[in-house]
Amino acid sequence: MIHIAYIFIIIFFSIIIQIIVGTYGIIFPITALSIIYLSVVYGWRKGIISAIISGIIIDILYGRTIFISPFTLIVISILAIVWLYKSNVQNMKLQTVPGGVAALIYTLPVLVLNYSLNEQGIYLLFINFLLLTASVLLGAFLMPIYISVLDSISKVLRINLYTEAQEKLNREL
Amino acid sequence: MLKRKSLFIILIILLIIPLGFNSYRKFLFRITSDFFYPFFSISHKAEENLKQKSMLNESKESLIVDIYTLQRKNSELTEKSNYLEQFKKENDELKRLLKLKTTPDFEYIFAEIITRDPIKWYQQFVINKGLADGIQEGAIVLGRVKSNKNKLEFGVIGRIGTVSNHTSLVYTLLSSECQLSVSIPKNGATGVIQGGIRNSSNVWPIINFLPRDLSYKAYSKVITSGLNSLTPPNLKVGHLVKNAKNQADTSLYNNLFIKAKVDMSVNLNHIDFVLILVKK
Repeated sequence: MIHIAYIFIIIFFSIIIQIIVGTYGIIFPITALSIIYLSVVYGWRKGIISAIISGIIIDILYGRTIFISPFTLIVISILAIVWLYKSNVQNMKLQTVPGGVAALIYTLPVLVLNYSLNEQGIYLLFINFLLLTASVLLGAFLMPIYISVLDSISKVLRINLYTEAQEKLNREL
Repeated sequence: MLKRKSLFIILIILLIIPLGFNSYRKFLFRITSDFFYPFFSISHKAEENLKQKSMLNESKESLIVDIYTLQRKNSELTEKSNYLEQFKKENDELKRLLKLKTTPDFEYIFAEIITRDPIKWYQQFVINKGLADGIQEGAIVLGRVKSNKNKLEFGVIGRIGTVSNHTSLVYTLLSSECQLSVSIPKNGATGVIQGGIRNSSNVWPIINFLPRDLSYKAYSKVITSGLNSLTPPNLKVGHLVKNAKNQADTSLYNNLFIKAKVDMSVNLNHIDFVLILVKK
């Protein structure tokens, strides 16, 4: 039960932070980072469900008519599992890679869709490229910090840690 | 195991498929935005408090001057409003005697932006007023006109889309979800704004269904036509955009109608607050 409550709190706060920061014009992909964390720690099922729910809530709160976030977050959740199996989740510096990739997967489709529907010209293409780069850098920079913060909370609560997910997986196998 | 997997897939389908329906999306917007409203309003209130606290840094003298200026302006506006009220009563009385349709009364509701999508920055935003404050779906949203710094003038931003108890989703004239009947007083043409386009730093709503047999001049004023009962006539929308040949930027559509680009009177980048016109 504590896991569900913890997942709920993580999703809840990441949605609030993402939307508040977004109101100032910054694409802050913290929900994507949360989905990576939850998928690695709690497995693909909980990861995908969290991805769908948080994606739907974000798109609804922003008033979007085309729902893209649930799908991009599902892809991120699947990639997080691939990352868990293929890479080392204990090395903090390496975690910048899933952070950056998650931000890219989360931001690129919405930017492309918006450009194709409402925008024209090379200048705006360049602006969108800058937005995408900023989002990717932000994701890559934040991921190790985010993992450290959430893992230290999990340690206090004595629940599963991101850095121990691979060991847990090996034990189960 | 197979049963569990199929249940999981069914759950995913049940969550995603209904999003294709507009009414379901509206229903979800009402629930989620009312649930999250207190949390978003906290950050908004904190920002307001900070703004008020920053006023304490100003000198007493400058604050006194500001108060006197505002008091003077306030009394001027009250006087003007009373004068116009008399005219309105007179106008209504004359219309009644001539058995003409009177224009409905509108109430102005002040609101501030609570959340804004960084991707759809120019198309939509959410304001901190909803059903509980008397906001109606389809009501016109006004913003401060960009050119006039000293004079307070308002132009159309868009329409209210979905309304929850405490918040409302506003679709700007750039959004295809917002449709507004407009007219060009210079040649008497009437058309409908249905979405628009953004090109470099310009945002241009597009007027469709303009008659092709009329001539369109650049910088011609565009105002609301008032054909819809939720929209009063003569509200400022913008003016027609100039093309390279110094004429209005128009194009023929289906060999039947003219499409024209409009330069909006309101700067969508800097919206401090909005006014919502609600029918009394």
